[in-house]
Amino acid sequence: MLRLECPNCGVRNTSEFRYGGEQNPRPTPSTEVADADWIRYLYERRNVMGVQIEWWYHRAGCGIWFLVERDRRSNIVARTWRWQPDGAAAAEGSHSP
Amino acid sequence: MSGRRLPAQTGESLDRGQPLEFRFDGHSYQGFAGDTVASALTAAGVNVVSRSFKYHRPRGLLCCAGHCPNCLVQIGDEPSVRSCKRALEAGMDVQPQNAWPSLDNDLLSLTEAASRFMPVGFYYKTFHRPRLLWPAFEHVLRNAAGLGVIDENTPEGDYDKQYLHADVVVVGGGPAGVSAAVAAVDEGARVLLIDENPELGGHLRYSRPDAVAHARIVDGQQRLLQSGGTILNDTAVVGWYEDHWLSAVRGNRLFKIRAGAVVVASGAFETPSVFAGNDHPGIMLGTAVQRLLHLYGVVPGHRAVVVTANDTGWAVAADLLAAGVNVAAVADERPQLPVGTDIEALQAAGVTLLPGSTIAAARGKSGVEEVTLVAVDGSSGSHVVRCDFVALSTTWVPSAELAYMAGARSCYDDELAEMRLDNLPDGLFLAGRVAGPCSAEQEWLQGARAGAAAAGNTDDLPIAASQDVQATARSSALVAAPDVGGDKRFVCLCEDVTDVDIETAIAEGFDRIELLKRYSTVGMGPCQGRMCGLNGIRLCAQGTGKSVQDTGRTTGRPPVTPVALGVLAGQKMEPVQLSAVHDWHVDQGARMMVAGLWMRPEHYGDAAAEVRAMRQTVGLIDVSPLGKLQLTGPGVAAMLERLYVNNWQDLRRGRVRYGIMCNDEGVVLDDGVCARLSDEQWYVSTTSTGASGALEWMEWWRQSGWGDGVHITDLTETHAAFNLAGPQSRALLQTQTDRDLSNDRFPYMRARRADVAGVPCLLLRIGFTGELGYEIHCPAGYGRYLWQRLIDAGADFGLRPFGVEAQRVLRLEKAHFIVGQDTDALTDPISADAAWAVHLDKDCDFLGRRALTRIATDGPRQRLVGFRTGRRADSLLEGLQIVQSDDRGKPQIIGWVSSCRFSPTLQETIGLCWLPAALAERSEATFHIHVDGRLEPARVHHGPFYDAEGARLRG
Amino acid sequence: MTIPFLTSPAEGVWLSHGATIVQTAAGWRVPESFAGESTELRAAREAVALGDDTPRGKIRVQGDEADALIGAALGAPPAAVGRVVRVGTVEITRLRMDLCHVGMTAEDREAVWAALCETRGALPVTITDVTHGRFEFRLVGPAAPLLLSKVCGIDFHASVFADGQARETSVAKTRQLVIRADLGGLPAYRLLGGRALGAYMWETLMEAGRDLGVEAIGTGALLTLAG
Ligand SMILES: [Zn+2]
Repeated sequence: MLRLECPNCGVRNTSEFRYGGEQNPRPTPSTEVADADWIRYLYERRNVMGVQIEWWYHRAGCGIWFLVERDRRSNIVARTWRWQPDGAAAAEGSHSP
Repeated sequence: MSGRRLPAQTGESLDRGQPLEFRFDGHSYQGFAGDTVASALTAAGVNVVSRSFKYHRPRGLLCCAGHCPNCLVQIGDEPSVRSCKRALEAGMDVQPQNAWPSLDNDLLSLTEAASRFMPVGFYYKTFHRPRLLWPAFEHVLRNAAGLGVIDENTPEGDYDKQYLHADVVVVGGGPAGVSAAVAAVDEGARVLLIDENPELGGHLRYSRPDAVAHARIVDGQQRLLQSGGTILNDTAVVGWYEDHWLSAVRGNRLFKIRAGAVVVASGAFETPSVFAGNDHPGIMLGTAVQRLLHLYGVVPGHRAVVVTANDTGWAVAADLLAAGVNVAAVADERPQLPVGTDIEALQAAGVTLLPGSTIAAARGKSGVEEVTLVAVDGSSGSHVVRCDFVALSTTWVPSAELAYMAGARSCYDDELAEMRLDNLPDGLFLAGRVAGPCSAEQEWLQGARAGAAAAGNTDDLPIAASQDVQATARSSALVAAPDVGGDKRFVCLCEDVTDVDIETAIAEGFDRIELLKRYSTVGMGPCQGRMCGLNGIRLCAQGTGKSVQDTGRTTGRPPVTPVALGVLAGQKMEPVQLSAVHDWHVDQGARMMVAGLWMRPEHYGDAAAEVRAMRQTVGLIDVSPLGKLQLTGPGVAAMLERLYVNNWQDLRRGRVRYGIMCNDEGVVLDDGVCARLSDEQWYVSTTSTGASGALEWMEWWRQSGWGDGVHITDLTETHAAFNLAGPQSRALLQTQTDRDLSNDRFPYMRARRADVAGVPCLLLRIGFTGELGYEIHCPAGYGRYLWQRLIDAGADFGLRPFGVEAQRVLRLEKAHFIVGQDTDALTDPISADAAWAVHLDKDCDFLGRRALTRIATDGPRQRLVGFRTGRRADSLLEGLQIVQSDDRGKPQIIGWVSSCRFSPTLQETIGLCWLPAALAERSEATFHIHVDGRLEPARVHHGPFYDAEGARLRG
Repeated sequence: MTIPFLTSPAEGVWLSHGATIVQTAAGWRVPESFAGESTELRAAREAVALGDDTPRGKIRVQGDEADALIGAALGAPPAAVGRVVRVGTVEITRLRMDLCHVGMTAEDREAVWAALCETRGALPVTITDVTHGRFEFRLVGPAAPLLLSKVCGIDFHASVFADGQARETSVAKTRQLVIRADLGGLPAYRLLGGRALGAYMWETLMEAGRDLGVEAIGTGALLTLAG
């Protein structure tokens, strides 16, 4: 079983987590977005063969949603971090000892 | 006695002071404590242990190491036990498998006479068409195939699982493994050493006793344990998964092991060679003979032929000679006889020694009686030698399944005629024989190097085997013995696949190793290719003209050895959520039902009476499973505005409002009521089964930008919740609280805190059931007490507890939908007749706004609407389709029934259904529900069926 | 009026283990003993014992200012995530940067609650009493880590999960807070999970510990162990 590093709790088995799909920001305001962009948001997933940024939820643990940069070919995770309001990549999250 | 049991041997595992009686195939035998079932059978003179899978040929012991299919037996109610690994116990009832009616007289062995009608790919060719006959084929196959008998009356076993963690896991407890474990523990690592045998030692246990080597093992074991290492004996590692996650089995327990690094020191095993009649009982591997001899003091016969291609066979022959067995001949594939004390001893005894020779055929009735030995190059004539068993020491295969699963590549060494491994993944190391032939000293050195590397303290530098070791340890390069005609030449013993089958399959075009495996079934039996894998690859290479390297190997997958289903299932572990009142419900004879993880009372015996009581006097239902979320902070109202389709900013303190949550497709996700307890404290209920999903959904939006100034606390299990409803509910509740419950002071859709029977509660005056009612939320620890107080106080008011079934009827009489029952993954609130809750004019961009705006403009195509039948129609069920004839009179499906019940209040069957919008809009319009080929009429009904004005709720 | 009583979710399953039930001053019905104190103590000292501590107070403090509030109200700020700080009988466990679990005896609950609420003032911190929302079980004894390793995938080795540490993780397929809080010199853990799962957890732990000689331990023997 793969392991995943929760930015809060540290490394755990993936069975503790729920996958939340690829990062897919909501275009706003929804009523003014072009149809094509709205359809892309609702129905189209990039499904890349390569590096993807995706959501995970630590369901059996601390209950945080966090982002994971994962190479879908190798399952190598480059980093995990909590979403930040300014959209900038956060520093590595602090976690347990 | 058969005279096969020898005097006590040095290092044997037997306790000869403790004889054990057991039965096999109806006969009584005796073995000793320390015997395996197979060794005891061998000592008792039993040669035939099983019948083969397809031709039902007699089979005897082959590997004695838990790899091959030949020794599978049924012990009591347990099928497919490897008798060579199972310790003998007193009173065991052992039965052969695949034998009917008996092992000696198996009727299905007649299939062999028909074997020309059972070609390779037999199942595909024969049972493929016509498909209609498949049930009949299946019946035939189930009887002819299969291993062992399942006893459906067997009680549940005690199976469980355990998680283990180690910096370094060493697989294999031979010299290399023990050395690796000690080296790793010396480097300060947490070490777990796993071995499949009852004692450490690996091949030292069954090869000629060596006191010095044995002492090193004992010393290593002590050092390991003294330094905090752990040893698991009798444990088979059966799988490698990503991030060095191993599965291992001991008895009825499955271990799930997280390793920092893994040292594979699992050695190598021998495989049989391909020659005519190579499956006769008595033909076994050299290491099997050594195991029987040195571990159990048993010889499998009295006159042996040894066939070899390396020095292992000479040790076997010399050991047999020393044990007093008549060794009739030794054939060595190599052109020159090697030199050494073993050979000298055999020469001195006058044994026939045949260099450049191998075995080409074996013959016999229920066991081998004579063999034909020929020159490998076909140069000279053949020798026919009488014997009653044959030891084959020709071919070694590294026991490398775990390394392959981890991503190691195989590369065939033509010089050694053996698979080697490269491209090892990070954190995986090899040590000992699995990495190739090596001397005794090299095993220790390799182990120490690998153990230190796995502990992270050195780079693993492989120690190459010296040339002299390679020369004495190489495997046979023969793909198959020279063909001298005669009996079948088996490649795969599990599935009875012959070399001719392989050639035929290749000729038919199945010339890739993966295809060849699937088509011929070679390697698909219980041994999972251990006995036949290399021979299959070599035959494929020969048949296609490719090199063995280019032919490749089939993908290895877990489990390495068969695992009982009970082990995979483990301890029963099914979480169940119980309300604080659960024991009361059960005591009262409630019929309990599963709702998500919750157990809920469906009814207490008479759901219709529960409905009537609630409508006429008062009822009480346990709604503790309701999701209950506390949202606090200045940002709550703004966040709810975005997550729900309703308005929230204008909800005043102490008020309650029903809300619907949608996603951006406009699909209803959940519903419930939200109470504003103070400016910044809200209490939000969700559906029972949707509670965790709703929480995760809200948390996602909160944590990704919409949650400024909001905290969410899940209080689902913190509060028990009861709904007290019915015309008498106010009077009843008033007896338990000082708070004024009059309609003026506590009107409909309000929230109030109150002490009820001395318990601090939150009361919500809402009415899913359509009567005056109060949802009472109290700290769960008080739940049992408060429930009892309400029941006791209710006696004077005609109170009756009601269950989920009555609640379903009650809400249906009010035409309220249930999310997930009347709605599905495409349902929007406008189509579901809840457009009143949707506020498209909100000044925030809420979830679903765009989709719902469009639906509101275009109008829904289907609508959820009520129907009534004017009669009791018990044949109408949820899920039935609604049909209408089209222009040409052909019936078309136009909708479906999502809820349907007989209403005790209205004395007719009512329901909710999905209809085309145009039809749904016409009140009283008649339509037809399709029931078992009949059409049952029903009429469209708008609004609640009961108390349409809601006067009873508000009064 | 009758005095309200409070129940643990495991009460029904205690009874099947022969519990003697008494009511505490605060009204909680607790199992005073099961097989008898000597048997229970022997299991705790030589194998493993499972007790019910559900009446303990449990307060959740959420918000970016939780540290400041707890420090001011209870005299010690929380430590790192996964660490426990003890102030008298109060245990402060940090679950996240913005979330702490505060545990205390049932008797101290009201005082701690009051201290936290009074200190909060205008701080944007949510203080929630979740005493009733979680069962709290106690596993005591040398075999406690072994028992947990049969129902939980995290590493309980003392080198990585020592006294005073805590983890939120999956135990027997349910979300739980596991706090290592040794008792009378014996390895011991607190297990806190959703109240409705209490009966299931009790039975599952007893079943998982059967081959280890687990015994249910009453509040009497637990007090003796605490000395
Ligand atoms: Zn976490």
